[in-house]
Amino acid sequence: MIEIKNLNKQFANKQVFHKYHNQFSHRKTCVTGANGLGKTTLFTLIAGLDPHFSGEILLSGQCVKSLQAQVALASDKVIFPEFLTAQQILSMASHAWRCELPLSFAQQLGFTPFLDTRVGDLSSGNNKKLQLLNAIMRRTEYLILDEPSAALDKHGVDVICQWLSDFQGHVLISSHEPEPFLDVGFVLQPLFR
Amino acid sequence: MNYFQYRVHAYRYALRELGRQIRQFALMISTLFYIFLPGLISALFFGLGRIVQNDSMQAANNVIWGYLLLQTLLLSVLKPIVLDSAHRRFHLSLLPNKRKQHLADITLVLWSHVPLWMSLVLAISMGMEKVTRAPHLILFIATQVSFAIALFYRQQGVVYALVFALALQMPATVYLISINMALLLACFIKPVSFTYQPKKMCTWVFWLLYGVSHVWSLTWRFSVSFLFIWGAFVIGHERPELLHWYTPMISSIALLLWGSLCLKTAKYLKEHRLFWLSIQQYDRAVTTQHILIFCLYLLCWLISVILLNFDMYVLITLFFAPFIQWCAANKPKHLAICWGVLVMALYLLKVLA
Repeated sequence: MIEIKNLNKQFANKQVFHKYHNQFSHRKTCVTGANGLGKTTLFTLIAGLDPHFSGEILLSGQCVKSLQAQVALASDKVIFPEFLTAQQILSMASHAWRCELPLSFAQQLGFTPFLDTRVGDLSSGNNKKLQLLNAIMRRTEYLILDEPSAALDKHGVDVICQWLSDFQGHVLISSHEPEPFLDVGFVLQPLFR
Repeated sequence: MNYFQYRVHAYRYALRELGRQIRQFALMISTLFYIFLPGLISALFFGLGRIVQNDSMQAANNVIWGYLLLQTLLLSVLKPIVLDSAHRRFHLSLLPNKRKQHLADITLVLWSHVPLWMSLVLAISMGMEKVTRAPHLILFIATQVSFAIALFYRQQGVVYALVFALALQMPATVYLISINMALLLACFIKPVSFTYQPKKMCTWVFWLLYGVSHVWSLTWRFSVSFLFIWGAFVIGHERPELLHWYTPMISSIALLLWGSLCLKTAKYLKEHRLFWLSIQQYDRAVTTQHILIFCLYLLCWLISVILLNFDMYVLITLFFAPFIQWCAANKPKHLAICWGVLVMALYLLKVLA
């Protein structure tokens, strides 16, 4: 369960969250909300990538010291250096988190031929696959996938859905086309009640 | 608005933007060194004069080479502005073929080519009779044009030709014909793209790959630093007693050039901050960046110490480096003023001591 208590987050000219409370108690949740409401910002905060906020983020009722160690995020906001190859990106994450390269999952996604392609030369669909591989390979208890099906081909969406249906941890996603995810057990929950 | 009007509009707009970006820096340089600016312009004309008439073949060759390198650096800065690089596909959507595009490119290249205008001013002021007695000046002007155009379409060709020219020693006319021939041949060499695929990744390797993919940022900094050191070396031969005044300034200029690299690398790190945070390497990437840039500056500093002079004031510039780098990375708007204050303080100390 992910619980947000009294969250305040402000950018230079915009207050995104003010005394925000929410609870994502289902293991597989699809967060809904119109563009620009703050879904990606919330995901970045939960993943521990932005320390500039006030409030509490609890995982399974506990206030954890390092959110990053327990939460992996796949998002367009995490921009990869464009001159590195996909394999180099994955090997940096593998080295940092001491985890295996997800070669078999890359094979299932049809991404293996693109491992030696530079990020700048990847299509948007393959860039999304790289983001997903980069997050999934960490095998964390909590996984956040921001728009996981955006730009993916049908086969890619099927593989991701299959993998998510077998995954035992907590998953938070956002999607404007949630149907395939609802079929594998996700529940919809609005960002703001 | 037709295509040519669009190109002029885009050129002016991009030039204004560039001017806005470097306004603070240009203002500071002109305020601090306004007394030297007429001298600098005179020195450029003096250099052209050495091409027209020179007793030493080697010196004439070196000056020609230096001018071609200088114009290559200046035009490289203007290249994206002249070509309107960000909108090249838009151009093609307006044109049935590339003829008009090339015509607009070349016109704007020549319009932006300040060293070429200086050579033309010199040729006109010399008059037809004297120019006919110095045909290598006409050849030099033609070479300026050929290298400028080649830079925009065959950049590697220009690099090969410049490297080749460095090894030549012959009379000016033959020298100019030879490097033009070399340029022509070099333009047909297939561009080489250097690829390096390390097995293990870490922040050091990341910055190495960054350097490979942004090689021009490093090349022009090395080239400009080298041009300054070389210029001081030439002047040092004529007036060795003044060398101790030049060397701290040469080291300071090299420091500014390498320190300004932090503007780019720090911005790049910030753009990819979430990626670095996601692998818990952000702080390490920042530190590695500073160490590597300091090492590059140290290399130029050592070259200047070996070729020019070493004293306490040159050594002090080395201690300024971390501060300038920090300023470029964290307070980019204050870089110019910070550098200016440090240089002023250094020279004040030198004068008072």
